[in-house]
Amino acid sequence: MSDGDELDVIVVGAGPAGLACAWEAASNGLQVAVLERGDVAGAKNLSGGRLYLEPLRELCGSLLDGAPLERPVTSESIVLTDETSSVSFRLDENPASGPPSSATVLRAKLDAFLADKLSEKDAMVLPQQRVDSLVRENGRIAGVKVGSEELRAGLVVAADGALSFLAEETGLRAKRPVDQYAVGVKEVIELDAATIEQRFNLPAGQGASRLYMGEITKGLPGGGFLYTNATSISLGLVFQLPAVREWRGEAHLWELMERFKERPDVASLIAGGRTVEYGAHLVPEPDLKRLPDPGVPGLLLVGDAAGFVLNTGTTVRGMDLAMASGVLAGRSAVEAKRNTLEPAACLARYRVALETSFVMREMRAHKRAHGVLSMPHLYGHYPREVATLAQGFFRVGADGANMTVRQAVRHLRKNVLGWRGYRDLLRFNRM
Amino acid sequence: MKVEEKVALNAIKAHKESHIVVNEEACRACDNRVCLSVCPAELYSLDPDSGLVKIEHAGCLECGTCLVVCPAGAVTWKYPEPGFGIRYRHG
Ligand SMILES: Cc1cc2nc3c(=O)[nH]c(=O)nc-3n(C[C@H](O)[C@H](O)[C@H](O)COP(=O)(O)OP(=O)(O)OC[C@H]3O[C@@H](n4cnc5c(N)ncnc54)[C@H](O)[C@@H]3O)c2cc1C
Ligand code: SF4
Ligand code: SF4
Repeated sequence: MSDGDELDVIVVGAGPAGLACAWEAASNGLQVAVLERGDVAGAKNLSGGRLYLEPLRELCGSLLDGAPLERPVTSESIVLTDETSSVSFRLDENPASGPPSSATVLRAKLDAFLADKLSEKDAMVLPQQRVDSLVRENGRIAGVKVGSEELRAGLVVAADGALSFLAEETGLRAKRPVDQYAVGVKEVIELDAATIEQRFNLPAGQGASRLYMGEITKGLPGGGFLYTNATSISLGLVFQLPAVREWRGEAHLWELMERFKERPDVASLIAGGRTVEYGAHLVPEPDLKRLPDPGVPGLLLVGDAAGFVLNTGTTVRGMDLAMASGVLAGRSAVEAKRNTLEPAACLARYRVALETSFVMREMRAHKRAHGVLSMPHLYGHYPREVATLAQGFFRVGADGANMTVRQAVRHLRKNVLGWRGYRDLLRFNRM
Repeated sequence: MKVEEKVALNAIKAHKESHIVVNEEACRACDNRVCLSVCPAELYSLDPDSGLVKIEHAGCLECGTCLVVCPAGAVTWKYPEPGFGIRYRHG
């Protein structure tokens, strides 16, 4: 693939996708450099905070050994909210022996750790390097431009995240379509370990995840999340951008975060905590039909740049898909170098590797989730009706009455399973 | 908490030049003005006298939301110069 002292691979972006790619390629003897615009890996990065480890165990080899995981998640809840109450579905698993299947993470630590690991393989991250554009030659991508400097490599990997100006430059993706994005805002709230474990009813060292839906986003498609870290809580809200654009709420978007924190059922969880950081980041909300081809000859897209994010309502996944696609791109680079493949053949290998891995399998399996999760009823009407029903079951009124199953069914039929509910149910079913 | 207080918690080294520029003409004609309410750091504001939309880049979280959401494509947005901008310590 390369001759002389030209690099084999230039990776743009030191997030999980780029770092996993560099690790795989460098582990197999390729000359790799990672260019990162931030001062260090992770400086510009933010996620909600739960990394699914199970799918990465084989793919990533020893890359994640010793990674700074905050807490393995053993307690999960889905919380439906209305104005005055919340209804939770909660799963508590007794901590099992062996490695955790998922854990909470903080990106500044995680990304710096992954970057450090590269030095074991004689690869490294070059910080404060902002790639401005691509270099083309003979119908392929042959390198990148950083300021006036040109850097060449056998392969360029665009791991430049949700905005991916590189994917845009190649024309693989349209200019930032609003309906393919959500925005997440997040606070990191410091709280001591004992308090966290007590409040979330956690065995020592274990963690909790809560996904919220309903009133908290004021009818906007989106939701909230809460993850427990070792000594802090990650709390945030995510909003789909098309609805935000048309939203004429009386508040600023950031104020909804304050209201979320002020809800008594959330305030009690973070009481006494101290917010130490406030961030925001885009989340790709890809529509499978418009997912870009994962590269052009000489350039492969990985992670958020390729649109590999899944929000199913019960899980939010980007980091595992980022790392998996990174490793697969790294492998394609290694094969290309070993067999002196043309850039187009390298891209073809990568496409096949994605298709036969869990990355594209999962993207396809959940292809309708995005559309279903855009249904406005999910964010107002349904959570409210579920709360009303739950209240009915648990309450005894002044007239001495407690809701009977028959009344509950009647209530459901009338308020939830109308023609509209039936249609929504069908959509759910197809999901 | 006020938004200024929230933003002030972050480590941000602002460059003297803004990495975000809005197109005055487009903003004047705009009847959406979503930038005013969507920016998580509330950095967009409307000057009541001139009717112009202004951006204060110094507290930018570099989320890119304003760029994607502006219906008129009036936002010119690039990453801050290397060595500048936000540095997440937790993320
Ligand atoms: C609020 C929120 C909650 C989330 N929750 C979860 C969750 O719980 N679990 C989960 O798995 N995923 C979650 N995600 C998604 C997850 O964060 C992303 O999918 C993941 O970070 C993608 O990794 P990446 O390496 O592709 O991109 P990024 O992590 O964004 O990395 C891109 C890197 O490229 C650099 N870069 C960009 N352009 C250039 C350039 N021109 N030159 C040099 N460097 C450049 C950036 O500085 C950055 O370091 C969440 C996302 C958000 C925003
Ligand atoms: S930046 Fe966009 S949304 Fe804001 S006023 Fe200007 S044109 Fe309108
Ligand atoms: S990038 Fe985000 S924080 Fe910065 S001005 Fe735009 S919306 Fe506000």
